[in-house]
Amino acid sequence: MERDLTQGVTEYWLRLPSKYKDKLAQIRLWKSLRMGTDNDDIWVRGIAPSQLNSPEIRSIPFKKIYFQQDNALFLLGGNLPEERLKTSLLWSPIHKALPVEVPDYNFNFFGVDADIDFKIVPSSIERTAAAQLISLDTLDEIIPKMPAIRLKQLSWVIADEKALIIGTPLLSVPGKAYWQTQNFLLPAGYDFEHPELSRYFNKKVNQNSNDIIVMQRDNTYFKIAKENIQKLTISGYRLSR
Amino acid sequence: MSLQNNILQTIHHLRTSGQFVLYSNTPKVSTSELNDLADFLAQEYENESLNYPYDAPAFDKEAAVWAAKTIYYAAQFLAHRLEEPKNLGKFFENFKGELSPSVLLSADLSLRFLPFIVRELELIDFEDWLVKLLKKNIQQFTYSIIGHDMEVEINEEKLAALFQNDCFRTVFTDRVIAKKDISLTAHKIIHENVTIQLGEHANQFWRAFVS
Repeated sequence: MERDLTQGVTEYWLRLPSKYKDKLAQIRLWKSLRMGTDNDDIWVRGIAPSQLNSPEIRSIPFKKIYFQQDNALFLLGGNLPEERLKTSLLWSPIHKALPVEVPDYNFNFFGVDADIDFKIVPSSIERTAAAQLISLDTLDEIIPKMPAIRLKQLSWVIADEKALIIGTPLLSVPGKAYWQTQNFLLPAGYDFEHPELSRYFNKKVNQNSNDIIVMQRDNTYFKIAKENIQKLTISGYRLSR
Repeated sequence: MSLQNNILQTIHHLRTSGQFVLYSNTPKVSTSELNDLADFLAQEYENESLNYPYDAPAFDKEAAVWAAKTIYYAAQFLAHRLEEPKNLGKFFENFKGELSPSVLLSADLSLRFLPFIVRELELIDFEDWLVKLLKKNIQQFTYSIIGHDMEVEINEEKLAALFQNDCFRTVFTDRVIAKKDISLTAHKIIHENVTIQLGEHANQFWRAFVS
């Protein structure tokens, strides 16, 4: 059995001197974070283990990362408690605590025609795969031999000579993995360049949210109507082939 | 479907809606009725086997009809017992053929509903002759009584021989997992197969199961 490296830690705390407040800009859109102020320090809690090693967190200078055990805060990697648990702080969502300031109007700015490309970029945050694109040849081999329990929670749809299988746990066969956010399926290891715009994009191409949008690595996408997604059963598979 | 064919109508209703409707109170069936019944069951088996993993074994007419007859009579005697029948062997005979995956799966078409009837009978009278008789008759049809908390004697050697058939082995284990029949996993051969099917997701699918 592999040792659980997180040791049951579900959130990390971040401490930053108040004068470097601006450095938190890049994480203020992570909705799960909460922020509180304590004298000269800013405390941020709710950092998930998967977010800890992301470039956004790693690039914040002068920070200290803590984890909580019982009633004490330990410095990351440390064996002795550094701080008592901060219970008296007033926690507020980080995007409320760090409001956006609009810069002064720039009369010499001519870039208003510029577009933002909607694209995906490699991301270092680890996500659970929720779907898999598998070639039908591979499935022909294994689906008729699968125990019912493995198929029960999966649904599928045929797309472009391949089968898109949605649901967890995924089948253990070679295929492209995708993770899901809202109605998007993104290739594993990728995230939107501007995740905050995904909602607008969804509104634009998927008005009624009737479709699943599968993003491809080359920034193209295809849509699959949700009503076409069927439960995966052996008989259903046999009849479709 | 002819209107007079009571057993066919009953079994058809049972298979489509899961409810038992009896159309007469005389436990009698004719050969032609049974032939129609066999055709219907063969069709049902074909539909069902589409969902079976690997290659489904062939339909066994004799076993399917025997099972349908058994459950039909059992229901008859559950509902009306005007007089104690004298010659029970005429109604409830033990299955005579050799057990094979094809026999077990074909008989299961109707036999899977029998434990419910047995439970009803037990509620009425635990010592009823019919309970004992039915329990004895379905003893060897292990596949149909998975998950019903009935006493089963499992002959591991026989089961191992039946498990040679990939299809039967998989559907049997599937049903043990679906019904979460933990008592059956006390048998080594079933335990082994359940472990294989659950793989590393055992904890997620079936917490009580310890591999």
